Amino acid sequence: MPVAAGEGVRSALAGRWVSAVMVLLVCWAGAAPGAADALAVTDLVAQEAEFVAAGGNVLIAVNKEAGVPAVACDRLSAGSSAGSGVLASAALTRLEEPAMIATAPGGDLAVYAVTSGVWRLLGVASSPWRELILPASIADRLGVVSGDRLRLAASPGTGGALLPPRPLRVTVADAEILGEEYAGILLPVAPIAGAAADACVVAADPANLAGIRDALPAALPSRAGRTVVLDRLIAGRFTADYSTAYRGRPLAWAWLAAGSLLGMVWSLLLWLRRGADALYATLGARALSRLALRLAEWSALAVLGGLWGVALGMALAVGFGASFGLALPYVARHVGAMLLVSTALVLLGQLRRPRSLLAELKDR
Amino acid sequence: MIVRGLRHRHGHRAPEVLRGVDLEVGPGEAVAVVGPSGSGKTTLLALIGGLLPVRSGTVELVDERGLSCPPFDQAAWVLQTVNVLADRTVLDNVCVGAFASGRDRSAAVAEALRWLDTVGLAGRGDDPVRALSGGEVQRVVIARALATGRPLLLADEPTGQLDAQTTESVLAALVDRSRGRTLLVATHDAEVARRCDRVLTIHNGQLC
Repeated sequence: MPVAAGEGVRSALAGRWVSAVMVLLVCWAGAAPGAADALAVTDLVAQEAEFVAAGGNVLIAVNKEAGVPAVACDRLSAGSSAGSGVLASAALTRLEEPAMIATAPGGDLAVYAVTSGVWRLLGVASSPWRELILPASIADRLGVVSGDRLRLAASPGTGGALLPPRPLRVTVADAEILGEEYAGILLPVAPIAGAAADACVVAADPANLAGIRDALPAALPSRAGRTVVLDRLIAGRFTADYSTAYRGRPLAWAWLAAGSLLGMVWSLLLWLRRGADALYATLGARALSRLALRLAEWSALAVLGGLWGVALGMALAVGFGASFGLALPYVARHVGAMLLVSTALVLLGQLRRPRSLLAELKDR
Repeated sequence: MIVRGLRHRHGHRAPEVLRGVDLEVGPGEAVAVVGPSGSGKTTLLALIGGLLPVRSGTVELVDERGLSCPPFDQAAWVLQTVNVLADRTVLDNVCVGAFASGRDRSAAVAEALRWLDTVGLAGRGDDPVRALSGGEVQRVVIARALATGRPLLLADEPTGQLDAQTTESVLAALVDRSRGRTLLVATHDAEVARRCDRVLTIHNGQLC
């Protein structure tokens, strides 16, 4: 068998233009669709990141009659009651009485009690020292930075019974992801009266968004009323459905077409050279040896073309804006899968039974 | 080599090409089969050498111990159409028999060089075979057949497309250098036939 493989490699090297054209064909058939697919994925990832940054993956569950269960909401990201893909969740309730910053009297601010899941929702590491979340717009106006202490005071005409009496350490964070209507002061881990919150805010993996949207009402059971799930984004700026966009990319299966094409081209070339195969047979080469020869010949060209294909595909993908780390698996997978398909077809072609050796020798 | 009652037709409805051929060729004997085009010369050789399946009759090769051997593994071919690996060198073409039989390449190269010298192509081993003339290519094919070491040589119109001078050199290589092996040549060239030990004529699918 090694002798046959050696003969196959020598045959590939001797093939000159035919071999060179096949190497080029393998290279481009792997590189072009691989790079194009990597660029499509890059585009999709960028769109998805923009979608997430804008809060497109945030769902808000509300129940106007009975509220939503705060504890169940906070635990959504830890359990599987809403299915996999919940990145973070927090329940929040607006306190009945507004408050003001003690050092800046006169400006009433809405105050919300939120569960501890808010830290993950805002992308802020949880810490015992973080006691109050102040939107950046208010912090800028007051000249407050994270770590400062602020005391909340009751607005005129209110009791302020739910407000903490001592100064609280501030964390400045943009809470816009929760929705414009929640742009007030947030008090993490403040008790939520009756354990029913006004809303449950859920950040979902964009690929699972639809499933989580459907599962949320059941995962947040209330005593009365109907739990409604709303999208944080109302405007239709993001039209892609990320749960299907990745699987439905037009070039995801391009390796199958490219591999089939290559396999057919090489099988056709082998058929045109069937006289040489018959010649090997008349000289005593058994079917298995001839198969090893043709497979080695193809492998020599395919490996060379495949390596060039990965290099070219990476150059194209990176050159047109894909990141190296993202492009490499897609380009390599395309080239690898394409070569597997083409090799399978070449093998299949070699199983053809000749009419007779005489006919093959005469190319009939 | 013993052939008995060999019949053949190319397809069920095709006319019979061979109609009960009987033939015996002794070891080391050179036999020419002559006849017009379409008389069945190539078919007879192809059946003996295993290029076509034998459906009616028998072909038997008997070695010096009296044991029967499969003809396909004992025959080396020099064909009517020039069957060479066109992309390869002269040496590769002569060595290809070694690959086919699984022999070590270095030993095969030494053997091939010897046979190239014998057929008058010493020093041409590294030349691409496509750079050779028709007569030279035919001598490469003869060297390849001889290098296989097989005891039966089957040659189908080996000089069919060659001029007189080239024919002479090819015949010298084929008939003279293959002494000791059994040679069966299908030809319509009188010069080829003259060089053989025995001449058989095939007519209407039968030897006479």
